[in-house]
Amino acid sequence: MSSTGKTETLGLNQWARTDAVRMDDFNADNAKIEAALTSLLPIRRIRTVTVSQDTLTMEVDLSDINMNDYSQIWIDFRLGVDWTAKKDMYLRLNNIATDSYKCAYISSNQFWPTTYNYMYLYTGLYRFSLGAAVSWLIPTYIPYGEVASTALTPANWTSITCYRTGVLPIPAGGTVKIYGVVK
Amino acid sequence: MMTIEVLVCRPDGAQTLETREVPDNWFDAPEPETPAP
Repeated sequence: MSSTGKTETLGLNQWARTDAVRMDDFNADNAKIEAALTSLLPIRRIRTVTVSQDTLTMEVDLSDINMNDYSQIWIDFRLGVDWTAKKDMYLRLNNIATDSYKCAYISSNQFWPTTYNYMYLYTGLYRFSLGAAVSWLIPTYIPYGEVASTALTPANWTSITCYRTGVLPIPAGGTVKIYGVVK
Repeated sequence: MMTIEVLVCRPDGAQTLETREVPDNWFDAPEPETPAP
């Protein structure tokens, strides 16, 4: 035993002068604090993906996420894509081909490295409500979004797929961040 | 049906190219292209 005392609520170590001080105890305490604070957050980041290589289609596996813990899922895309081919990018849930959501873009490269001068940044905050079914929420600040209804239930939602309509890929370095609004 | 390569991003951070059988119209745009604003 490394500390004589413990705090009342979280059981954090309280050392006496004669106690040994160990790294493992600090790490365990920090993990408890992290878990306690995280449980108080109304919105949690549940996934961050950085695209590792150029690809026409990318799929984010969400099978480890219990969608029943959340009332909404927010998906924040920061994917730089060459607009010169004038091709859009689309989002699909569970690879259901009949339900596609157009990814919006902003005509600026201010967030992208100068090596991608002629690229547009496909970005957007996509929000899905998790009720009896997964429902699209009208985006609030992106220029536009296309919507199709889906009968997908939150418990069955296991993946997000992004794909291009052209021959130019989603380049390496872009990110997808996924947040959950806790019930 | 056709076979495509998909970059699959797993929960543990691994990213691997996998093949998928998809409909021939997989890459079709469901809506008309929209010009940049």
